[in-house]
Amino acid sequence: MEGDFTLPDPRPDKLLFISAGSGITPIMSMLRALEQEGGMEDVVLVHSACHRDDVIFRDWMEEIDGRSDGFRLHLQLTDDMGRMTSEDLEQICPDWRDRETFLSGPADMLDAVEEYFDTHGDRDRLHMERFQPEVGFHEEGEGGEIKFLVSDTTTEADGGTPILVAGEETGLQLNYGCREGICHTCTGTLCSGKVRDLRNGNVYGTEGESIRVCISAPEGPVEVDL
Amino acid sequence: MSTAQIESPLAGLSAEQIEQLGEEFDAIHDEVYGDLGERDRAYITNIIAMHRRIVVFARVMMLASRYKPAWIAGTGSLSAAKILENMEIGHNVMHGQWDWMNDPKIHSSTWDWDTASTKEAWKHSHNYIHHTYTNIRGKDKDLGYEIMRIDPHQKWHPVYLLQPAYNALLMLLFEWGVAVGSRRTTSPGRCLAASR
Repeated sequence: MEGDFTLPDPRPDKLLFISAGSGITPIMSMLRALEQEGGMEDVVLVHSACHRDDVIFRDWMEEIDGRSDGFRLHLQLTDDMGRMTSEDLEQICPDWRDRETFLSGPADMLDAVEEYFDTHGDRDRLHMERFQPEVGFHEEGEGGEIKFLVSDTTTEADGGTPILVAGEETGLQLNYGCREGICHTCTGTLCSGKVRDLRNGNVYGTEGESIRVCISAPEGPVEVDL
Repeated sequence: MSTAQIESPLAGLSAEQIEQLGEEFDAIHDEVYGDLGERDRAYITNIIAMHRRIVVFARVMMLASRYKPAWIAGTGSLSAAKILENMEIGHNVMHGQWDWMNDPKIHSSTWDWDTASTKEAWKHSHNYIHHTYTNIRGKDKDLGYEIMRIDPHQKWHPVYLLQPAYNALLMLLFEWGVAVGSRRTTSPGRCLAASR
């Protein structure tokens, strides 16, 4: 699916970014894009982390903060300062209502900020990223021994590990593309044994069948033509 | 210019609705998969045989192409054969649509075609890039083949007024357009490992 969490085009004049923890990553891409375009005209970043050492991209943020007049950084270090509250926001960025706001972080933070925008600001100017839940990969089978016939390599994998990953961990260079069962780049022939489809838990496999090793875990000993 | 963002058609669905949609797709998959059999094998082998016959017919006709009817019949049927090979046979076989037959010849890992784009380059740009990042601007080159504006998020430029004209040109040179579009530009780590 195309991401909706992107900078609008043309760029808004005034921007506010609110993030916590690893929620900074999508925001970082936007900041880098703005910086490259020279578009840091009036940007505020409010980022929360437990401790200074936990701040991802801290060096970059502080460098830009020092170099660019149009960029202002506030680090909320929650070990000392506690979690950010609505009063904090009002103090750090009193003109938040005039800005397009981009928000990325844990769910309870998103909910709190969203509610605050709903009641005190303009919800339409708030853009947020909710992390997608992990797809599949929850149903674990028994695993087993994997023989890669062409590579002449044997390894073991547990029931949650795709054959592709098990092969890579022993140093094999196997073909792959999407790594999620879409593109068939990793397809190999199953020569014996059964595999489990990690997306839905189905166990299947007949001799000579094509399998995508990125989404298949061994269910007992298997041999693949890779 | 409007700053409105056009929403993905999926954006209005709740998590439960997306889950349900997924289940409906899975049901279609299971129904089709359960129904595959001899009838389908006969279909694809017949299409392949028909394609080969049309090609031979077309080439023979073109030997006599100083006569206009033979020229028209030759080029017309060769065009039809090329389209069949590209769209109905090559595309589908290299997608893995026929891998279920476990036929060593009609199989995504071995199939090749008489088209400007190599099978490896096409499988990478189509199966992996296009189908993993479908319609994502800047990632999926099938979105306008880098020369056309077909998505409202693409920035407008006056050159796009000529789009109908150069789209017609692309139609005429389609296999070359695909070959150029399939040039491998992703980083080595995400590419196919060296094919064996």
